Amino acid sequence: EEAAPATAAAPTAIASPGTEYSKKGADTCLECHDADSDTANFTTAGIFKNKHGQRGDAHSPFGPKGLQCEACHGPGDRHSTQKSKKIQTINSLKANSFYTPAERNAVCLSCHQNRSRNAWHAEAHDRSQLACTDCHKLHVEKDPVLAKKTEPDVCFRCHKSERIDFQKASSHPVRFGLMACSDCHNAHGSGTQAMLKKPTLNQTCYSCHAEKRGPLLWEHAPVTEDCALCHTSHGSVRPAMLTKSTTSLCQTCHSVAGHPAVPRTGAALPGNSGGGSIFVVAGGCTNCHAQVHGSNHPAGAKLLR
Amino acid sequence: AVDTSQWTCESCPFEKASASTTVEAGLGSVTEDSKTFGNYTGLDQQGPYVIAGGEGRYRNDSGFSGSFQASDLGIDTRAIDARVRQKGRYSARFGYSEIPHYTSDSGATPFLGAGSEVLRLPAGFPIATTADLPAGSLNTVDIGFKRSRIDAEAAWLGDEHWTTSVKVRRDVRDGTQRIAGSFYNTSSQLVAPVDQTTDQIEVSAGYVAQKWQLSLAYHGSLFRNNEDSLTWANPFTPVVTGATTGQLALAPDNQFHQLLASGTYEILPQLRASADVAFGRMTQDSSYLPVTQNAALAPSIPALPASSLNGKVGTFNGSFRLAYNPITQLRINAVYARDEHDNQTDSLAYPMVATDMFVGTTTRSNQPFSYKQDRYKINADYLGPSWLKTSIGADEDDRMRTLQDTVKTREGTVWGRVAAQVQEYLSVSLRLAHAERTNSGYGSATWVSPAENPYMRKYNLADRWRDTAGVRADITAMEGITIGLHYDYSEDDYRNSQVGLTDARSDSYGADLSAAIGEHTQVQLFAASERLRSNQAGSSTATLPNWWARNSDEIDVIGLGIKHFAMDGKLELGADVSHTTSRSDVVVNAGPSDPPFPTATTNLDSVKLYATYRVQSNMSITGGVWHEEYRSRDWRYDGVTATAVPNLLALGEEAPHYNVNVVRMAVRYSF
Repeated sequence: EEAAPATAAAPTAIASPGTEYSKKGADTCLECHDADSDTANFTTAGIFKNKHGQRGDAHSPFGPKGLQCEACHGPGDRHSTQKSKKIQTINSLKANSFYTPAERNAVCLSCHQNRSRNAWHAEAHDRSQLACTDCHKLHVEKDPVLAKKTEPDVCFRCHKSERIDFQKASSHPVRFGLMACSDCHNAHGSGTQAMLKKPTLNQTCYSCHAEKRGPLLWEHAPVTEDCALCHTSHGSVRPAMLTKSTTSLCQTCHSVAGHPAVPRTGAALPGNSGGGSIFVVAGGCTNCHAQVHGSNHPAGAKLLR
Repeated sequence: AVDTSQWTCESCPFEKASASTTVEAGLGSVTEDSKTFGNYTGLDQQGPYVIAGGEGRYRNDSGFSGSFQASDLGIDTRAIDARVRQKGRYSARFGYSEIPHYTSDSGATPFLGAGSEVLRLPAGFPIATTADLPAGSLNTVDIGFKRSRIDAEAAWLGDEHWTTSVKVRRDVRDGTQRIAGSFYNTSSQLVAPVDQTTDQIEVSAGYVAQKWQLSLAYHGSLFRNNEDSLTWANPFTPVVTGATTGQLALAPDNQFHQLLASGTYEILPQLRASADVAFGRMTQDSSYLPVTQNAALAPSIPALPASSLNGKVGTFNGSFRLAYNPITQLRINAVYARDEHDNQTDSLAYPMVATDMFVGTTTRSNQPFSYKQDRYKINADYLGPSWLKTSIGADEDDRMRTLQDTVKTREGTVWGRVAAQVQEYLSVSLRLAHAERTNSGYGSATWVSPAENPYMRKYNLADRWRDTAGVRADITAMEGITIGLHYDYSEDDYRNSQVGLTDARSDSYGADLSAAIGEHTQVQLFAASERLRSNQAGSSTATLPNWWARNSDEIDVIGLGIKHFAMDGKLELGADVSHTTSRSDVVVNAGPSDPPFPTATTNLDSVKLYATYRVQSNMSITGGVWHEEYRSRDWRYDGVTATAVPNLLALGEEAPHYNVNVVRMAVRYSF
């Protein structure tokens, strides 16, 4: 879990947007927030290219009877008057707002409360006081966090280790824009471990790897319990996203009489004198026990068929 | 109510009812054949490729809108996304995408029919050892498959409270994958067919009220494998009469059906509860393959107890959550969750047949493993003074298992975290956690067969202490420049494991910088390192340990991204550069004369340069150069030719490497 910093100073007495709405709605706002005030990351025009800025939509802030800018930013009359303390008289929805993240999020949730946010109130992102606008951009045509190719960079701002994982030689194709974090995780909270979209890790994996689901006649216990016992979910320098190489990995659990856990060293490599290469190179243990995910063959008890 | 009748929004730059289409067309070129580079990029073949894509939008004044987007149509990462939406009434989406997953192009095999259900051998087989491999019998083979996905969804807004949706998805995987088949002490790496289809559907309905919401859903997933087996000819001279052919079972068809319900209720403004429950059922009943391909052996094998598994597993997943804010600064969370995997498949006695050669004198029963997991969490966050947030929590994770070495494990965790806005420009946080896991007794399980080394402790069942720590700092150096620093540490101590994994440690640290230089240039820089180490003990006598091994991975990553806008925004220039290296070592200590394994390494250098120039308002030219070089060494593959190991007919793959340049140029035109 990542920790967000505590919020800035509590609101002072002057920090209040007042209760009066502006006289002309967005026309009032755009007198100042025009093209001259645009920055590389913010334009007022951007919102008119996405769902929030549609006047034909009754659910849009700019739809019929909508409160336009003030639907989200709150009553703006005081903010629009001369000599007002600009940042303290409007809900900017930005990180430096005097509103708490919960207060800022309440604005969004007044329309966007639905089942995908059922567990928001009990999950790490809410507890870390993330605001919706920490991840989402509203004044753009396409919110980067909603696009598969650009979403991970938003997540990596806090989840820094994961950026390394997806650079590793064996990883899910996030680096290539073919998968996004949200293919497996629900950033709005799901009530599961690691905020997965499915109830368990294995059910999440099965949504793309259904061939591993079974049930099978001869099962390998850790496979049915938890894929992460052998695989890393994000990436590994070992083939097949394994936590260790096959021989070492297998020998952390298997040391039976009759098929002893012989120490395999560099002597076992082809051309050296130790012998036993078949246990080490290529697939290692899986050169024979190829059905490591389980087998439905009646003679597959040892995962050989 | 606010009177908005005069809010005409005359200065608002609304988009007019319109249709727009942008097409992209061009050419690219790749300098080298490489399945490794083509893995997930689709650029696996040397030579030119077509760049084709585009997007379109339509919107009218009555709230109807539609859009489509197509990308990479000329290569195997092509994707199409089309949507329509009537505001406030319905939305629908259709998608198609492909993901190429290429494993290898450096292997060779003497088997004929690679990628089919039956692998035959040319003249000259069987052989005593791979040294006798007939000359000229190896044929190169590419290994990999492509995943094609078609998905669609539709949602209806009944009124302001109701939402109903249907999602369907079909995934098709087509190609080959690596597998292996053995006879006694000989083995062959094989190429198996992949021809699988998974269909999924989710139907849901949700109701949202002011203080509560509820949703119900059905999820179904049907997996179908068009290839149920792989039969291969034994390339080695069989030591048992008739063992000339083997057969591997490929993944059987299976199904999963699940009913889900979730809800939230605001008991008080300060007290919110939510819950999820899901009941599921997994089934699999594909007909068994013959127990052996050895006709000479078949008469001595008792009949199977069933012709198929009739496998069935019931699943339950439930969680209940409470969040309470008794005062503004304090928040308390509590979570209880239960997951069950109840394998109701009959356990029957099956004859023991090993590699089509040997028939056991006893039978062996299948073990339908079941699990129950209960998780309890409680934690509190306190904000105060305003610059400091303190959190503490305790978790417990109890797991019950059947048919395994220990019946129950219980893990308790306590943790704490502080996050402070030390200065306006500096925030820091520290998280510490300590967990202890114990099991209910190890080694008393009589059902584990064959009996395991009594000193072995499997790491998911073993007693364990886990300590983790994380520190991070975020610095706003000046307007537009932010710097992040992080360090994460984790250490596992398997305190009572004499054989098996004994300890593990990971360290991860890094820094990143994000800067806006002026209004036109953005720079991102990151560097990170990770160190993973673990120790294990083994026993070649199935008793006390007589060897020890240390696994370690070191990964270093550095990356730079620059984006610059020039000529009043007409020209966009960018660069993405990254360098990733890893070193993996396995050191086995079984005596003074044992040589170590060579270090396995990977090096990835990637440089992407790109530019987009807007020629006129509706036309732009985009181009780029991508250089990527990958080098790796891995003793598991390097030098392991088909003849290198006498009793292993390997594919002879090399550790992957490539040095590829890609250039591309395309025109985007809007009309």
